[in-house]
Amino acid sequence: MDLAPFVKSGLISEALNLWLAVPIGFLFGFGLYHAGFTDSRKIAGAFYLKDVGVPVVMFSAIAAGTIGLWGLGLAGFLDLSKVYFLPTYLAPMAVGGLIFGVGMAVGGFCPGTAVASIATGRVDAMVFLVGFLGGSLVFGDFFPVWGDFYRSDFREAARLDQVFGNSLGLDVLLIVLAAIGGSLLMRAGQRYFWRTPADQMLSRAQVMKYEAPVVALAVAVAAIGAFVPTTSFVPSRPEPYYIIERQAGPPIAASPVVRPATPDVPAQPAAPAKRREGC
Amino acid sequence: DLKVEVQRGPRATASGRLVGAVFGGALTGFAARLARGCTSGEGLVGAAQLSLGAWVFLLCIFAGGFATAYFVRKEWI
Repeated sequence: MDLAPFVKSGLISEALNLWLAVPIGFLFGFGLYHAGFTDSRKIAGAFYLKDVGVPVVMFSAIAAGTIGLWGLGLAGFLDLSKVYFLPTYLAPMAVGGLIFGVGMAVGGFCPGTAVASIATGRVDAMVFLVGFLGGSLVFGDFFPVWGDFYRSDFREAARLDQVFGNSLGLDVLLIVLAAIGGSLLMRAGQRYFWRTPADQMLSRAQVMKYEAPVVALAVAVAAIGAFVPTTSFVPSRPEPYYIIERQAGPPIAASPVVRPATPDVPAQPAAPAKRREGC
Repeated sequence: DLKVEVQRGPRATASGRLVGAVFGGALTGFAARLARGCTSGEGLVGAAQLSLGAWVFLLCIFAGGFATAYFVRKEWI
């Protein structure tokens, strides 16, 4: 079938693909607000195990996304070789993650929630966004200092099941189970450290009524998928279809000035072999 | 709700919270550039794609957050 990604199979135009971001963003902000993530105290509370709503929602989103992504690929609906796969730059992502965590603890937001919180009038979110733009500006203006680090440690498109050698379905099941286990662990930690009163946390009856069916369904779907051989439809190494990776050239830090007119402009057709055709 | 306020913990001052917001924002902005993504795009989507870098990114976010939580506790609790 291979209907999706819609824009790649020609079902919708590229302009419509971009315009669809508006309702999707609307739903995103809507969901963020109703989950309470526009409150910086809730986001920062996760790091004190005071309010673990944020990590629990993140884990559930990862579980739902991974089941959906690979499930749709298994069903033939989604052409997995056309989905943009995130390239892995291990060292910059690790260091970036650490700094990001520090920033989240100090500032109390992550970029998406900050923008959603601005709409509710919170001044601290506006100030956070100003600082955010400033940080990005600093990154760009002093790029030669960390330019080489930014491009170091490139692992192509490393996927977890390839790194550890498991089958894909097994890894999906493990991730779903880890998400459930992590959520339970964090909730237990919240109950232990903060003794939140019973009306603020879900009672056992509510959990059984609302959450347990969904969790059981997710585990069941993932378990079924774990025993389906996936080598038939998953590309062995998904090629990220655009990596702007400049080949060769001297290290950036050694150049006296950041070259504005580099010979390997991405739009060139005679590009290095790493380039893939994009949109 | 639409309320113009500065949300902060019970022991923090408004100006202290705003200073923290600027610093946190600068660190987050820099780190989002360095890691080529933020939690929504790279963390959640990348983790759903089982991308190694995205998982490392997510784990490091939690590590960094938990490590600094103690030092900014006056801001939040």
